[in-house]
Amino acid sequence: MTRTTLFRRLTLSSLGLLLLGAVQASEVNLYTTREAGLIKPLLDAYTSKTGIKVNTVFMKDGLPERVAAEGKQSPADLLMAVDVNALVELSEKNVTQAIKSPALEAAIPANLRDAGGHWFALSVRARTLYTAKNITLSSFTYEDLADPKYKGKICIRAGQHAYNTALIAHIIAKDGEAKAEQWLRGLKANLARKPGGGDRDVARDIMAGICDIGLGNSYYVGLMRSGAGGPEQQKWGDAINVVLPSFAKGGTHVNVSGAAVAKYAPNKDNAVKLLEFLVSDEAQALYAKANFEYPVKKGAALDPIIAKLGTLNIDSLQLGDIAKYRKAASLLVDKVGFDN
Amino acid sequence: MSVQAPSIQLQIRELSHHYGSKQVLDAIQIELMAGEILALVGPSGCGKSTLLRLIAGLEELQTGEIRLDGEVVAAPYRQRAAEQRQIGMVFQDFALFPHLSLLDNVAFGLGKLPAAQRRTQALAMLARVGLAERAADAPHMLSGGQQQRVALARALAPQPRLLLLDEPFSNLDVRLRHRLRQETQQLLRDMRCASILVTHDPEEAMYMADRIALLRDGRIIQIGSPASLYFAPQSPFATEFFGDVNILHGELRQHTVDTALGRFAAPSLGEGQAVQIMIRPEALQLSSQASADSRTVIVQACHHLGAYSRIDLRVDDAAALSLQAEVPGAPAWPPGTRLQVRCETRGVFIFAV
Amino acid sequence: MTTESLALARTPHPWGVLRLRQYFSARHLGVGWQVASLALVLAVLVPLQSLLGHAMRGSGELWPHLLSYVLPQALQDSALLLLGVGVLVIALGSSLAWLVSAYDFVGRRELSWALLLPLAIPSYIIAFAYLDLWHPVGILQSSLRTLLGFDSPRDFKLPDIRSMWGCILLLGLVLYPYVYLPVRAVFSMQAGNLIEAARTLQAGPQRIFFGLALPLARPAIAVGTSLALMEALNDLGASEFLGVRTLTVSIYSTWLNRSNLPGAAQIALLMLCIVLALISIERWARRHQRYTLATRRMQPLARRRLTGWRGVLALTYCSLPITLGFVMPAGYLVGETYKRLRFSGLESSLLSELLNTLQLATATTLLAALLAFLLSFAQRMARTPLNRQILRCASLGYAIPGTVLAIGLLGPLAQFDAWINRLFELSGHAPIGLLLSGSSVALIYAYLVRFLAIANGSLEAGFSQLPTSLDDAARTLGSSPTRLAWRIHLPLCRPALLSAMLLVFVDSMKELPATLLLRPMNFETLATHLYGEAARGTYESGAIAALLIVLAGLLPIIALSRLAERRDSHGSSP
Repeated sequence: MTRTTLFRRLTLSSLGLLLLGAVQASEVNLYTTREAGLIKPLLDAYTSKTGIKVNTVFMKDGLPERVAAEGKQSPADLLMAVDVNALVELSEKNVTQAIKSPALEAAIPANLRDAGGHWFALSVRARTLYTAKNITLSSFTYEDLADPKYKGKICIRAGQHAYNTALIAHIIAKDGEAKAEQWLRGLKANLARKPGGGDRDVARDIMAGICDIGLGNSYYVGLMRSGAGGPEQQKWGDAINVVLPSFAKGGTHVNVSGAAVAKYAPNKDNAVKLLEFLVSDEAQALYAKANFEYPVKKGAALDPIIAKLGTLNIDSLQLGDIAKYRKAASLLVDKVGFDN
Repeated sequence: MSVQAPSIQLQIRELSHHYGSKQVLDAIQIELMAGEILALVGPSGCGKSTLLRLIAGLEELQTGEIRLDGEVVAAPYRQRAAEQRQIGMVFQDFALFPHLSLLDNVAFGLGKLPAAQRRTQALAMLARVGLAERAADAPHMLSGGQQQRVALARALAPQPRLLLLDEPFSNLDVRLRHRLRQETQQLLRDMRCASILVTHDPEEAMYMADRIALLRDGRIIQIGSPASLYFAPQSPFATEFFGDVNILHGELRQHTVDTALGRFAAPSLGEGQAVQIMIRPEALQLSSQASADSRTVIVQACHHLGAYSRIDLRVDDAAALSLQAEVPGAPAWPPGTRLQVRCETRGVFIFAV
Repeated sequence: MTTESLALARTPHPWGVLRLRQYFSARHLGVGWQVASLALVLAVLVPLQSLLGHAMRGSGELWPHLLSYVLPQALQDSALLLLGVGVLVIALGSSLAWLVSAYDFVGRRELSWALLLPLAIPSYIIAFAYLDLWHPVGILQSSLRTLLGFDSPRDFKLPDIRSMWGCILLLGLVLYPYVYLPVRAVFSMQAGNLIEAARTLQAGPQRIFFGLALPLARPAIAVGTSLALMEALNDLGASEFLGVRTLTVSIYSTWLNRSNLPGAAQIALLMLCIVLALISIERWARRHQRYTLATRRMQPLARRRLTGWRGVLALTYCSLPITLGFVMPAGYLVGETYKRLRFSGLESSLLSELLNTLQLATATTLLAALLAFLLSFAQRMARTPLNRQILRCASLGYAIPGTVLAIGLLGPLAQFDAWINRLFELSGHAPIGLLLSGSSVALIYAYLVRFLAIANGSLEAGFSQLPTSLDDAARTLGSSPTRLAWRIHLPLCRPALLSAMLLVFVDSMKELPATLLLRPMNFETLATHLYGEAARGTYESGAIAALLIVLAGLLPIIALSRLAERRDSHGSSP
């Protein structure tokens, strides 16, 4: 034993510290706000393929703050987030580094990754419309939500929730703040109940007759209908019709999960390798299967339940540009008193 | 037989104490001889408990000096901690440790001894207060009187240089109090332990103490033997504190004052001085025969109190002054009985107003 | 004699100047104790200082926006929530404690500890369970509709639980034990003679309860209620779920949605000030009350037997909160667990997660008990204003939402690590990477900062019940402060210490937000597992983890009640 390691050990034990995830030759450290269980099949596949061990820590809020605080000593290699805003924030907080990778650039459409290579989307979800069984709509625009004919018929989760602020930011990006405010006020006037609960509560509330239509993410449809959440939820999933809405001028609003390589990543190569693995056909198919998301890569297989929802036509705006309006969207929700 | 001059056990010099802007003790001077029992008496809030706590080291001394056995234990910024003073204390609520047996309570202060010896000594001490067979019991299983005895035994077990008793009998009923103060006094005498007893009960002080210090508003207004405080009080306050009095008013003429009960001499006071005459009830002597210096009084009521009786009287003159007399036995005078009263000067005290 | 001690207990100290004594403390305190408690408080305050640092960075133009759109609503919701939860926990906690202490009825012994069970249910779990149970298509309302002959929820439905009243009710149901526990201790340990005195004075049960028992228990009620209210104010799980927009929710939305961490830190500090003000007002209101009783007659209350319909009524009343606050959500979890087990079996990781959880909670509990004892002892030995402030400050962490606190910890932990690494570099060694950041130590530190207040409150109350004459007696018998602490205070504070440990243990078991942010890699507790399931959208799958949290929380509750019962039977033999 060299003197250095002896000293190190003595220091550690004298401080009585528990160091978990001791240094290992071939590994990659993942900080994620994507729930670890969801990506576990992917990571396992990566490990079995490359022999690189993946250490994960899943957190909810504060990932950027933690990495920033840890600074140069941070063990984080890859930072994963489930919201484009979080990815943009990571790069704004200066805790990411630019990655040049032909494989990534080829797999991911340009509007779903940072132009500078600071973040990359890995999977896509659409903000869809759930309707009661007796309502069949062939098409629907997000703008329709403000139509007075739906007065007292709409359920939605809290306006301050990221799923909704992302949508509102998208509207601001497209139509400007004044129009967005008008739209949001119209939507609020149409609500059947106070905004709250989760997206699946929208389905359940539709089933209970509290409302006729509501917004929910696409993968929840898969989670409910597949029975992954139990027989109760299967009933809720079956009690709704799902429509892929679009903007009056444009496509469907989507949000992404994605990842960025940490600025001080000690295992940068492994991190890039993992990223590239995550956009491989194999991994993309796993993504779609594990959580009923849309793969980011064209041509990767969809889950049958999701495939049945119809063809997803993603709006062409750069996600990073939409994310810029996220704060304005949140303030707008306050201003309109949407959640009151 | 050689008689050693008694040494000074405790010496308090010029001790003053404030709580904020309120002065609670003012220039206290006390000397206590070895084996002596001193009672500190006074009304509530006169500072007697504070003085006790200062001596014990439970309160920080501000001004003055306290010496124990000649050694300074407290002077401003120079204090010995309570646990290093070897001063025992018995508390008003007894402060027995509820989670320890009686034996462990008594042995608590013997911490420095080996365990076996500690036990023997504690048991011996418990035996002295008659509770040896209850050594294993918890304090809450004892009566109040027994708890008091344990508290005393516990305080005495380490053979303190001085024992402080803070109203030790006030939580007990009268009969128990009488018995315990006798037992306690006996034990203190046997152990020749210099002691200071704080009490608000003058009778208890007179019963227990060799000397009494009377405190009022933080000052010692009189200190001396029980007899001197009772029979030679130096102030109306002291007079009233140690017993009931009949109060008459008058004005001095040629060093005497005339009252409804006759003429009293007050040689030390000036001409024309307004005075109050305080007469203890037992100084009023009643008889059916008139004498030269007697006055006629009318019995209002008789209260028989066992060994003696209190008689409510009214002087048979225009002012119809009310008086109380104390006489031995149980005389049966019906109300309205006319009697003669005369004063014994030993129980008459005259003070300038 | 009993009436005399009653008078003693109620009258203010004869000298109005008593409080001034603190400036001239005579209780010589070992410098070690003082320094240790001061150091401890500084350590507790570290995350607050760091938050202050965040707040000082300035929040730009945010405040006009917050003032006109966010804070009025947040303040109103928080005030309503606190008011409602406060009334509920005081009413439930003190009435239940009184019933099981002053009366005897069928099932009393079992109920007296079962009433603690709702403690084991985290607020986010009860909220989720009720949302499911109470939903118009859930089991309760469906059965009710069948019973009443309605077919569709459109024809008949109960008020939505996603509301202020729902939040108040659910939080009240899981938080009332904070009041029940200390108040029961007061009633069962020291109220006996006073209440008997009142009974001999012909006071009726109502007068005894409202006129004597309640005022007597007021310090305990105050301590318990302030803990419950801080928990309610800090709660994110239930309030966000039920759509109540408290200050805490606005802190999160300011940080995450309005992308303004300084603003969030400012709101958090504002909230802290409000909490401090409330606590100060309460303490000021009872500044003249001294409830230290004489040692001689600390006797338990002789219970009155309730028979017939009175007994049934008491039993029903006591069972109600247990049913609503524990049986229903726990039963729901059992049901979901059963479904889940059939569906996919037991996850092997659960065992290691359980172990992690228990280890963290145990370490936190022991440390919190030790530190709180040290702080309370130091305060008792030198009742200086400084020491009192030290004790207050050491409790501030509880008034900060978990994640915010964790954010406050990130910086200082990393700073420490950076220093250590710098030290290694300077001494010619290779840097060793992060030591505290992302370690179990950081988690325990965070838990301590959060939950020390609970232990402090309990121990402060415990110490306040010990007459100071015991200290004086020990000192005059030659005891050093250390021996006094060890031989007298520690054994006599055991009940307070145990209840402190119970509360800290259960709270640490449930802790989620700080754990999520600060934990090491590949490290799960039951709560994070549960959260993971919830985040994945399969709350029901977390039922096993939730059930394990509840079960592990039960163990100390049962152990504590056993101990309390033993003490009861031991102490009441005259």
